[in-house]
Amino acid sequence: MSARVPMIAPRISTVPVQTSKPLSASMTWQQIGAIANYCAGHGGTLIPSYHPGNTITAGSSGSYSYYVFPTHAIITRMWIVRAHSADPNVDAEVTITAGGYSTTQVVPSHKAQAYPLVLFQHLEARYYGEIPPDTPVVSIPGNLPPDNIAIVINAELADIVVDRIACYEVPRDAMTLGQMFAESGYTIDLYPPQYGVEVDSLKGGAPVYAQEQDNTNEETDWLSLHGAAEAMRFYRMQNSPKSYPTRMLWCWAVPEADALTTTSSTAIPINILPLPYLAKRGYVKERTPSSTIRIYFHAKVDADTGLVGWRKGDRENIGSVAYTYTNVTHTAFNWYNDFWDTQDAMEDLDQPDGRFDDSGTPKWSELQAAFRKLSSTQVWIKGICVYDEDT
Amino acid sequence: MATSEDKGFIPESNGPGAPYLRTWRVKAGRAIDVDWSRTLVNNWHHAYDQSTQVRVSWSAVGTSAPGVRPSHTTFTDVDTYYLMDCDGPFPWSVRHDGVLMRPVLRLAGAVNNASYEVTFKVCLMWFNDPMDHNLAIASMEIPVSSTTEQWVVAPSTYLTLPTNLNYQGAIMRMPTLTKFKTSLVLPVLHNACVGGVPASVQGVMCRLDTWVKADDTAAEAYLSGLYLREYIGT
Repeated sequence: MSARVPMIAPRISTVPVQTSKPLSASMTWQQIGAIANYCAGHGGTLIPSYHPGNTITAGSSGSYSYYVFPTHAIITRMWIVRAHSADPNVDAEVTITAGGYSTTQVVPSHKAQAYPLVLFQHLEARYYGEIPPDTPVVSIPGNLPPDNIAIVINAELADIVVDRIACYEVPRDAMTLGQMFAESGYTIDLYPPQYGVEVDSLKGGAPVYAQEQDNTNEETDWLSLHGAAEAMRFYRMQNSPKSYPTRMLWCWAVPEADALTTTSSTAIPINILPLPYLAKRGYVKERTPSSTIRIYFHAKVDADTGLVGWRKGDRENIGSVAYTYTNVTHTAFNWYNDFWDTQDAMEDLDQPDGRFDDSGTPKWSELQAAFRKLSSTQVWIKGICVYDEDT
Repeated sequence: MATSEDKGFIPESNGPGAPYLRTWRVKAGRAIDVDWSRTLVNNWHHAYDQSTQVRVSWSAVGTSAPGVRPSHTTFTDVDTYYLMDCDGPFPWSVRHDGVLMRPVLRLAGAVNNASYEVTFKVCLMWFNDPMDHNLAIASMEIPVSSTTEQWVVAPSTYLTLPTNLNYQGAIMRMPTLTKFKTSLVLPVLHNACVGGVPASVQGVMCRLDTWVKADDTAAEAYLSGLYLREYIGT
């Protein structure tokens, strides 16, 4: 048996939940089971489309590393790469490799003719190199895994320019029910539970299955209201100690050879324009932004200590905000992170464009990253990942 | 005090900030209280709201000059649109009422000389995956064609950018499903997906193109940032 993942999110309503009325007499619960399957099985954006812009010389390769939070039930990723030959007179050939899967295709000599190269990476099991999806961010040691996921691009025949890289999770057709690991014999680390919900068990008039007091009855993890509640619990736990899965806001990564570097002791902005974002809401009618934005830097120093920093604000004030820095101490590229748990603005689902209006002027939040040396001589950075982590 | 109707999750009896909806409230043979039930519904409401995604997020990166990214910095043919940037294909979500989640788009760019005007045109195209014959796509009445190219009318917008680098009022709301009926399959993407997309890909794919034209051949245009995300909205 498996839980179908609906392509379109079902509509659920609180209207049938009324005092003194039987709860199972409506279709509400089936919709809850269906939307649980939708949220867990639909997947998300691992890497929003961005522009590396680097050149890879013929016969060599470039490796791009990202710090990602995969959705627990997704088993296929779709990589999209767009590149063109650096020589306007010669087509080039590229080989894209991710997680043991690769494709080789010709790329044109002009950017305007470039087409997307699509690579599907199938995940029969989670890689140990990745963060287990149920590991809270706060428990990750300071020295984070350097390469959560990576894509390698080889240039052949001619030099190439990489125009675009993106990675999206492919929605599931169906998920396994509940945890499953108990009966399959696998451990949770190798095969994360998918927590599919059996929608038919939530029909009106169907018996309400419940969890045993000793929390040992895993048979109901996919059934009835307990299944829906367990699915919610796991969905919220998978990446974050408090709330919903993280949402990638911004990503940039280049190969090591193209890393940005500075010997300056003053802050050097990395993104010239502050990047717009809207923090998510903690709950439906939240009025005070409470989301946490976390930024990951892939950086190194030549010796001693360098600094990576970031600042945020709205469009009116970000230029006057000081950077908050994190020390960079490794001489090999390593992930460093910092976070901001108070936001200036957040999305408003009642507004046409989502901008929250608390003072008559709807606004975006914006963020800007920078780096500089401290006691080091030089600092390098080759990747940034920014997340709306939780509330 | 916020009620459970307002809250995304209930504070629960063991104190505020309970990390998740407690399942021990569901017990065989016991009544399920209404408060808990509404909380469960609201939890999933909110989880669905949070399922929207950022699909394109690019900002110029560099340590010296602005990392501009023109594909045509100097325009040889006035009043001719040049493809400046192309994103996708990327997946797009569909709401429970059959409406495509509306994109919110921000665009940043600049022109090298205030004497010249450069116009950006942003087009978001929806298309069906030819390998995917799911019913939902069919019910949307999306025309599928491998030979014709039809632009979505409503999501195109024309922006005249200033000479300084700044985000410039480029927030757009894209159309709902009714406009989707006028969209198309772009041939290059149609072909690119054949044989590569498994049947498990469900739903709508999307492509974002940025075009530019100038009113003088001496004009140079720069694209410095793109940001596109799904949005549920009202």
